[in-house]
Amino acid sequence: MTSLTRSEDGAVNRVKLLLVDDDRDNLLALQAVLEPLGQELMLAPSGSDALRLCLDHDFAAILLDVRMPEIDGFETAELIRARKKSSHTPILFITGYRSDEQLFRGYDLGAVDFLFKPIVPEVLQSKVSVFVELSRSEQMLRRQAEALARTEQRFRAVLEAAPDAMVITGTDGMIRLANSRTDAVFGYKRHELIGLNINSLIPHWTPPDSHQPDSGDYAGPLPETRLEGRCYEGRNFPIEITRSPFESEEGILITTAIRDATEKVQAEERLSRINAELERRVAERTIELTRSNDALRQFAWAASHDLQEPVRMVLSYSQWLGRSAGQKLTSEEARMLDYVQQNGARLHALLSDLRHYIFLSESEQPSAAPVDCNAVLDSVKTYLEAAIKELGATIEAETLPTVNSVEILLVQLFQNLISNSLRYRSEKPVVIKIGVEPSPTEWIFSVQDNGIGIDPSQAEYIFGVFRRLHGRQYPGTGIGLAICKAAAERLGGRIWVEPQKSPGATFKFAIPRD
Amino acid sequence: MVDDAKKILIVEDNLADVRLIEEAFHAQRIAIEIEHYETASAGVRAISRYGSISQSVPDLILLDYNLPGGYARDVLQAINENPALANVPRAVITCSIAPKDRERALLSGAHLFIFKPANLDDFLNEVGMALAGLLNVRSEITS
Repeated sequence: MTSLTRSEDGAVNRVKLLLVDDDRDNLLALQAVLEPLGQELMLAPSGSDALRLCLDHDFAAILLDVRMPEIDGFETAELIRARKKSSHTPILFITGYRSDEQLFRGYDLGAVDFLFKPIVPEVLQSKVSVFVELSRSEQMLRRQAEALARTEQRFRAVLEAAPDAMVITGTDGMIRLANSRTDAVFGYKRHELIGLNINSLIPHWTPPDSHQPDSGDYAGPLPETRLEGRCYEGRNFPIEITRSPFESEEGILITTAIRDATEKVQAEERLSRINAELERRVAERTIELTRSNDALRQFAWAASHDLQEPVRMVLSYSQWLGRSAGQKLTSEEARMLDYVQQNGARLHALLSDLRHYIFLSESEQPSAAPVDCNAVLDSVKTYLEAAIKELGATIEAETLPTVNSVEILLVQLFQNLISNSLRYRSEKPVVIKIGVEPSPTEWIFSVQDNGIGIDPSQAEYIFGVFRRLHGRQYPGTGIGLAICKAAAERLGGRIWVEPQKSPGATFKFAIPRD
Repeated sequence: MVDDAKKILIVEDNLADVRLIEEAFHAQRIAIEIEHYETASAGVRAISRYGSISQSVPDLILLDYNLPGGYARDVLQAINENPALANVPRAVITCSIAPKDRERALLSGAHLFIFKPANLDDFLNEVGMALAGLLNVRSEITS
């Protein structure tokens, strides 16, 4: 593990050392001593070779033999120092003898140390190690500084590119930094902004409250706030701001993003004006509709009522005429009179049902009381007794609950649904099943038969007034289900046809439990 | 025979109905003599004449609910205000199904609210029985 770490570390952080000596044996000896440091060693047999290498490489340190032919160590050092690239490279001189003159000259030329021959390997290693470490930390610092500079650049680029005015302040509100949008939004020059208090731009600006530097709870902007901004000329305008505190070396700083909300506010005002106008129109239209609805209802009521009287007379007197004329009529005349009677009876039934329907849908809401649905069903069965007996129909009912409801409306519902089942029967003996299932908020009643069923596409249609799916072979005015719908709705409930699973029809109606 | 005939005051705008009511009495084998008015105001005037002139009061008063120029309750009010008619049974006869009409009629002083069935036989039976019942009550009170 340690060797692996070292090698990895070395691979990343190896520094270069330059060894300069005209004596090849000395060079190899130095190389052997320094090899264990694991750094990259470069060898130069002369001062000019050393200078060439210095052009292409950065060295953590240079070990320089003082005595060399042509260019000696001091001259080489002078030339190395003269170059900008290597002006600060640490130089260690290696010399055979101590002389104060040499030492002074060496230090004058920027030597950092002297090593005396014979070389003691441990001393050489430890001295060079110091420079290796120095070079490494310098590299690291340089990289960090570069990274910081890049971050700073990015930060400024982001700040400048932001669509909003961005102002960085201390918690005291003093502006440290502002982007160009800030100039545009508030009309200040950039240099005027720095050092100004943000309250000059936003009179009601305050630093965010949650002020706990140690909790590290500084991530994320605070919710948007609508405030007033004040521009350079002193005009106020609506703004939206977001404040994000962050920790820096200078303590807590706050980025305030500011958006000019003038257009947004105008749009909102426009929208609310439009909405108000819309509501007013809807209200007007509703009143109109209510009026015309009321008028229609009154008309329908009066019409059905006033029509009923003359129809009743036609019916009664045609019956009377038939009875008193008796045998005096020819069979043709008797049939004609029969038609008058049949159609009079039908017209009367239509009007009567219509009247019931209108009565249900327009009368005042009757007050609710506990109603035993079993009793309701019994009275409906009694009322329909003749038809039930004639058809040999079976009515199977579950035990029904006592509900808080309106008895007359429940009677209407059961009576019309059961009549419907009796009327639209198939060839099979009629079986009608009455059930109930409670939901948390409703009682859901069902009336299921084994009759001719209902085409699913007609499931909505049949609840309309005078809607009939069949010809005269099935008697009926076409208003019974409309009455059921009106009754269910009067009870605050609803009625529907269940999707057909077995032959026959299943009607369900739901009424509120309370 | 004529003396035995029951005197019936009817306020009803439809002559066909008056004829049916007459027939309903016949079906019950009750001899009657009808005094008929067509409007509410004519009915009120007729009512106010009782008591002032010594005139025998009717045995039964029948009022249609909806009348030209007013309602049965206007006539009922006139009846209530006339002490001479205190013991005369009065009924409203109508084809209205609205419970509130029924309530109003009874609250205005009608003793009975009679529904007019459309079928001739039903009319003769139901209306006839109701009217016969009222006449019986009248006989019991006066005797």
